[in-house]
Parts: sequence; C-alpha cells; structure tokens
Amino acid sequence: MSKINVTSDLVQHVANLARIKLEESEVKEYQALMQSLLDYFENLDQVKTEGLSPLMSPTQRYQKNLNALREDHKAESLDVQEILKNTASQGQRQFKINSVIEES
Amino acid sequence: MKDIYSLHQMYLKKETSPVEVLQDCLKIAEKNKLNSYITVCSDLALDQAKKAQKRFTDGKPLSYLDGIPYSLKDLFVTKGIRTTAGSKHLLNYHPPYQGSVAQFLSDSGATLVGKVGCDEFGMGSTNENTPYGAILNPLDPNRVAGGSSGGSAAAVAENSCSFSMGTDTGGSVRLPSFYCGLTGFKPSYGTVTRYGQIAYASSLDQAAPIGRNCLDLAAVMEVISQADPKDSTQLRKDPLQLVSSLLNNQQTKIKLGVDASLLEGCDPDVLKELQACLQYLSQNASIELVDISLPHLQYGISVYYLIAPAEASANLARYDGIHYGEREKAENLEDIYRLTRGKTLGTEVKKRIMLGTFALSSGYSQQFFEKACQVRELIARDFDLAFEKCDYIFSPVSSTKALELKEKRKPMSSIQLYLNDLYTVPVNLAGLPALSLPIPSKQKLPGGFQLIGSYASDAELLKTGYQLEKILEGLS
Repeated sequence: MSKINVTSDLVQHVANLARIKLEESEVKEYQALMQSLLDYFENLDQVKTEGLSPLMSPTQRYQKNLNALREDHKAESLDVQEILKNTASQGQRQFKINSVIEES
Repeated sequence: MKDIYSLHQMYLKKETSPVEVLQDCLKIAEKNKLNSYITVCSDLALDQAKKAQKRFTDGKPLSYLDGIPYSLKDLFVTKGIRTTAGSKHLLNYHPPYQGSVAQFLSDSGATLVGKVGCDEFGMGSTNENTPYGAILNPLDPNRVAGGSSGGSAAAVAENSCSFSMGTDTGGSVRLPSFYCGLTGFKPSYGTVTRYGQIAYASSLDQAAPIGRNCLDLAAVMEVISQADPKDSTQLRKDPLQLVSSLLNNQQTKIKLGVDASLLEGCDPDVLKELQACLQYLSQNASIELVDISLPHLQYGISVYYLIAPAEASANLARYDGIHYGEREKAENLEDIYRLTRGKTLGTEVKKRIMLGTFALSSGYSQQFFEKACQVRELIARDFDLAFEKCDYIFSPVSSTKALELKEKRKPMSSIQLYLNDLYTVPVNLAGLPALSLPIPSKQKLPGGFQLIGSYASDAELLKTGYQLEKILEGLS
C-alpha cells in the first residue's frame, strides 16, 4: 500500500463526492482523522492476499440462493399523503424542490 | 424485574398481569433517569397490555412474549411512531410503513414501552455520538452504557422493559450487554430480517436482542427469526423452536476453543475474570478446552473500518433532505444536499461517510476496499479452521469494562475507541452468531465473555449458552 498523504484538497474532494459541506475547522479535523486512520490501515500491507477473491457479504460464502426474491404479486401501495407528511416541502401530491432547469 | 419465561408463568397463574407489569415499567421509562428513551409510547403500550391481559383471562396467550414489555432501538422503523436513528436529520421522521421486526413483535402480543437511544445510525461504541445525549450505565452512572445499542441495554438493566431489540453491526449489542451485565445475542447474518432496520452497513447489520438470560433470548428469537419475503438476504428457514429445546436440553459435551493470544490484550481485571471463568468451566466434566489460533483477527479493525464506512457511504446517501428528514435552505438543489448533510449529520457519521467515500473512490478502491474484502475472507477462514477443532469459541467481549463518560475520562483517539471492537467485529465480518454472557461476580461492573458459534448454529449456540449459564451460577 503506498503511503497516502491526506491534504486539505483531498478532504475537500471527498466531501464533494459525498455531498457534504464542511466548515473550514472541520476540514482540518477530518484531515487529521483520516490521516491517522489511513496510517493505521497500513497494517493490511502485512497480509498476503494474491489470488484471493474478495468477500463482500456472508451470503457469498454460506447461502446457495444468493438473492432470494419473493413471488411478484399485486399489493397496496403506501398512501401518498402519509409519505408526503415527512418532507420539508410539498405541493400537488409531489415533493417540492428548487427548480433545476433554468428558464432560457 | 423477572425474566420473560418467569413472567409468562406468572401471567398464566394470575400472580401478576401484563398491565401491572407495564405500569411499573412506564414509571421508570417516563422518568428516564439514564436517558435510555427517545420516545415513550405510554398510551399504545397500555392499550396493548390490556389486550394481552384479556387473552390471558381467556386462556389464549399468543406466545411467550404476550404481555411482555419491550423496547426498540430507534433504528427500527415503526409506522406512525417517530423513528430518529439517533440522528438530528430524522428529528421528526414518522415512518409511513412498519418494519418487519416491529411487526413480528407486535403480532406476538409483546407491549412496546418505547423507542430507545443509540449512537447515530448505530455508529459508535459509547453511545455518546448522538444529539439526544449520552446514555448512562445503570450499574455506575459515571460510566457509559456502551454502544451503539446503549439505550437497549440501559432500558433492560434499569427494569423499564423486559427485553430490548438492538442491532449489531460490529458489536453494538454484545458490548453494551457486557457493560451493563446483561445477555446479548448477535444472530448469524441472514437469520433475522433487515426490512425496516435503518441500514448502516448492509453486509454486517443484524437485528439482535438483549435480555437477562439465554432463555429470554430464545423466546425473542422464536418470534423475530420468522421468514420475511421482504429481505432477499434472509435465510428464510422455519422459525426456530427454541424455548422448549432449551428447557429440555440434556448436558452435552462441549469443546471450547480458546486463542490465548486474544486474552493477552485485556486489562488486568478483565483478564482475571476471564481466566477464573475458564478455570471454573474446565473443572466441569462436560467441558473440554482446546487451543485454537485465529491469526488474522488482529486485522479486524482495519478491515471493518474500511468495509463498514464504505457500505455506510452508499446507504446514507439517501439522507439528502428531499423526501424526508430535515432540509436546509439553499439557492440550488446541490447546495441543499451539501448543507443539509453538513449540518444535520453528526461528526462521527460524516467521518465514516468520508472514509467510506474515499475507500471506494477512483484510484483508491483496489488498494483499500478490495484489500479489506480479501482479508475479510481470511478472517472467515480462520474461523472455519478453528471450528474443525472445537464446537464454540470463548473470547473476550472487550478489553476493558464500561468506559467513564467522555468528560471524565482521558481523551481517546478514534483508533483507541475503535479498538473497543477488536473482539466483536470479526464475528460480523464472517457473518457468525455470537453470545455476550455475563460472568457472575461481586464487582459493581460484572465480567463477561463472548461465545462464538459456526454459521447458522444459532439454536445450538443458545442451548450451549444456557448450559454454561447454569454451570456458572456456581461461580459467584
């Protein structure tokens, strides 16, 4: 594993990918945190893993039927008004957000 | 508070009633001295208890759990009852649907006292990572109850409910059970449905009960292990018939595997109790101790803190403030996402999302995520080899007893805190079942150990736990 140097640019890049706005003070905090964790993770370098297939989920090892789908059948849908009760802004039985397409 | 089986017998003999027992629980829950509860459901619970009482009067109880008061970690979705996941983001979230564990328990006749606190989205081992406040340890209020299912453990130990449903992604039920002197069970991955359990790391998450003994856990597992067509990763076997099989169990020979190197890392007081426990168990004719070696477990923390955050970064992408949850005001949609997530998610949650996003990002995913998944396979193989020599594995739950509250203890780094999970995360990585059992002692904070079984040996593991529990009664 090559050593990763966690810069504030890298933190900003990752925060951008994760759609999280960080305050200036947070960038410094996360920079130090990520650096210390990535340094610790270097202990994985000691383990030989050539040719091993990665284990993503226990189902891979133990279950024959990897993704047991149920029978398809008609069922009641959730009530739209009940669902909309949880949103910050709604109108006309829909979730309301800022416009994303600008008028030309 | 009596255990579930004793309460059930008392209900049958009319020595007490579901309403009477519930009222005692509600008094404690409403005071909320330890901050266990986020929401107390007094009216609903009373209604459920009255119905249960009628069923006992009619001689038709639904199950061992009928009329038994319980609590749910606030990570279980409950229709119409606020479900926060311990997060500011879901401050006012009232789910429009019912999760399966909540439904199964409701169908069994159990009475829901309330929703208990946890580390935000299940991320933590001290229950201090939440805007709803730390949860105090009932055995010593200067200490934490443990996490992330700390509310569950505190609620059972303070007698505000008989059992509680927590979730265990890396030890979140076994650790607080140990800290609070209770018994906790993390089932094999796929034993209990995850439908309606707010996701943290989907290949590791498992619903997990906390109770007073193995018989309690058996009664709960009978109900929650039902097949659920809504979870495609569930094993969907017939529900386990556990209570009768525990009660009828004959003492069997047990080969108990011990990796001595795992004990070495424990604090002296924890080590002393583990050794005394092993010594006492080895004197019993039914138990044989076997040396085993689990060489890759030392990498468990690195593997877990790459894989769990990676999965979390995907699972928590849904908290964008649009369909539900809090929403920050901004000029455009992108900024709504960024501000909402920046302001309504807690530090630990953001840290794990960032770490996971990094581990999966272009240029780094092979080096970090894939490598971690390969070592995960080696950890699972260690267990395979060990179970060729022994039936169950005896290990510590954690190297220390309940930590002091943040403001009272020496500052700890993230890594130091994560090392709390050293003995518990490998079990989730391999998908195995494990019990956290107390060691009887006269100390204020009792000892405890972990008993790990092979995959899908859940019923046998609970039987063995029950047998060891009986043997250890002689220890104190």
